[in-house]
Parts: sequence; C-alpha cells; structure tokens
Amino acid sequence: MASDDDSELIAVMRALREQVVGVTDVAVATRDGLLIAADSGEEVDLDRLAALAAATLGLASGGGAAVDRGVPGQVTLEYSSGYLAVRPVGSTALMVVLGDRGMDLAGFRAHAQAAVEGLGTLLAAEKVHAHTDI
Amino acid sequence: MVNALTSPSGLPVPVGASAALHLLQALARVPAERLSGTLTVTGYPGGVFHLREGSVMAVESPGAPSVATILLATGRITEGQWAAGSGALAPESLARASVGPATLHAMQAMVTLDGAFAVAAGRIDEVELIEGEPAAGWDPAHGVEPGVLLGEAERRLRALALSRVPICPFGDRPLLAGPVAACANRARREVLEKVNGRRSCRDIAFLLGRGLYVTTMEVAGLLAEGMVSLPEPPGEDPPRDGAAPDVHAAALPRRSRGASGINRPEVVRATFRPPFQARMRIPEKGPIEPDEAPE
Repeated sequence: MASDDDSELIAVMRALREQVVGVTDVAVATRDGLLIAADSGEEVDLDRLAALAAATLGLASGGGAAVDRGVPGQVTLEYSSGYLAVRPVGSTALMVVLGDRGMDLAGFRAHAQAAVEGLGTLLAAEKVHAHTDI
Repeated sequence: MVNALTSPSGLPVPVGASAALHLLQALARVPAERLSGTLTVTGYPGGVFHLREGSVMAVESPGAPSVATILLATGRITEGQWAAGSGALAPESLARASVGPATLHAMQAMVTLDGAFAVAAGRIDEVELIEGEPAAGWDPAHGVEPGVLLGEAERRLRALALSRVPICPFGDRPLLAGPVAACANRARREVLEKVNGRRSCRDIAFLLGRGLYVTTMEVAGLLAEGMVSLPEPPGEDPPRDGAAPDVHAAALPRRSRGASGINRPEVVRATFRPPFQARMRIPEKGPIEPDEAPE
C-alpha cells in the first residue's frame, strides 16, 4: 500500500498519464535502479523496470560523454509494441515511462518536464524514501 | 508555403469550438483548391491529415490505431517481421501476413476514418495547414474525399452522443462491474478482459488492434448493460492542519471527472455539438450502428 508520501508522487505520475495520450505506466526510481514509487498496472514488473531504466540512463550518459554530447535530457526507445522513455530527476533519481504504440511523443515532451520538476521537488524535500523491501 | 490559420484579428488560433471551425474551414479548402500537404491539428489527442491533390490520404492520430498497430496487435505481423522491415510495413512482411494491396487499402481507409473520428472526438487547440508535397508512401488512387470524411466523423460522433451511456473515448476509464465469463460475445469478452479502471477506450483499442470507434461503442454498450461502470468522481479532501501545500496544484492540472461534459446525458442532449455538425446533414431516421470490427 502506498504511503501518504508516495501518494503525492503517484499523483504527479498519474497526472502525466492522464495528460499524455498513450502513456500506460510511470515510475520514479533512484539512479542506481531502486524503485521509489509507481503509477502502474499489475502486469509490469516494477523492480525490473526500475533497474532497466537506470541501466538505460547510465548507458546514455556514458554514450553522451564518449561522443562529447553532454548529459542526456531524455532517452526514448521505440519498440514494436510501444515506447520506453527515461528522464533524469535531479542528480539522484529518474522517471521512466511506458507507452503504447500510439503514445503522443510531442505531448509527452510538452508535459514531462513539469512532471519531472514536481517529482524532484517532492524528492528534494525528503518526503519519500526508497522502498525498504527491495 | 505555410498558411497558419489565425483569427481575423491576426491573433493566434483560438481554442475549442472556434479551432474546430478552423479545421472545418481548412478541410473545405482541400478539394476546392486541390491542396496537397499536411493539416496538423494540435489538441487532445490531435492528429495529422495527409493531403494530396484535394483528397485526404491518411489521418494519423495518437488517439486511433494505425494499420501497423492493428497488424501487430492482432498478430498478423510478427515482431520479427516488423523489425525486419526497419519498423515499417515492408512489402515482404505484408505478403507473409496475406495482406494484399486491396486489403491494405481497405484497412488504410478504415484507419483514416477512425483517425478523423479520434481528432473530432477530442479537444482541438490549433489547426495549421502546410501546403506542399505529402510524405511518400500514400497511394494517390485511394484517398478519401474530405466531405466523406467529415460526414462519417459526424455520424460517429452523433452515434456516440446518442448512446444510452455516452463515454469519452480518451478520458473515461471504466471498471469491471461483473464477471467477464458472464459475457457470451467473444468480441465483447475480449474488451472486458482489458478493462481495469486504468485504461480508456482508446487504450483498449490499441491493445486489441481494433478501431477506436468500434471499441468505444462496445464499451458504451457494456456500460448500458451494466457490465462495466465508470468510477465516481473523487471527492475534495478537506485541508489538513499543518499539511504541506500541494506543489502540483497549479503546475499539473488534473482532469476532473465529467469535465468534458460528454458523460452527462442531460448536458449531452442539450449541448453536445460535434465540430462538423454545422456542415453535414444528419439522417433523421434509421438506426445508427457501429462499424464492423476489423478482422
């Protein structure tokens, strides 16, 4: 069950899901891949998603440094059945989003920054902590 | 050449009904001036009309499944075949899936009508017409006349508004209200299996590889039969003493249940005006049935 603190995070993520057509799941995790909170259906393995997102962002960060392109603002992967997008949240966390094949990428780009800032504000205020049962 | 649609005063294109009127006006120009290019509708979900010599070749919208999505979701094209085609519908993949040119054209026409319905059923913020050569890949022999497109979108919007329990294809996320096994109809049972309170009609359409309109009407029927229900609007929590201010209240607007007005029958009957109603004639009599689901 989500705590009150998690509920605030979940509210931010749910708002993003409702604002952007095609977004199915949203999660926030630490940069080392530990799940903090998620607005997701039961069919998603959230621990795996958090680890995958951290690895994806880490790879993108290394790649950006290798080709002298700085740090990633967003990583988007297109699959046959949808999208996975990862954005950094501050310097210690990340937001990962799953979308179906019709996900509105322009809408996501327009709304994701506000969501990231909202999550960052909550995390910076130390209102939430990583799940201890991971 | 860019023809940004602006108000007579030169101000940016207004939102809501006025923007819908701009869409109507722009589409009316398409056959009259034999326009080619793209007509981009910004909104929720919005979409892009691809134009060629006065016809609409395709309507792509985040609100309605594309041909590729339908073929993938229904398993007619495998993920391996999709990847082999570099993420496109390669002719070899279509041949293996027994999708011939005639079938492909029929599917494209169906998807175009469904995309126009998705745009019309949503919120229209801005409309921009950019004249020029349309993107390659559209067969000029199989376009849809804008008048036909508008008429069909109008018919579908009217049918949705007149259903016993109107539902917003994008904002409403129904809940199961009974056992799935109690539904004898296979197509409806498949819809029920995807209902979980998180998914809209649009989300279910993408999962099943079916048209948005067909899926929305299926859900509207299930609502009328009591097989699914719509969640109650969340109540306002009283402020808690000492509680931290909601940092998202201003930055992240949340959709409130019923904000679109489409789910209030008493309002729907009085005020639901599809964007195209001003132009198209509506049959006075005869039942309005949803289209057949794609095979």
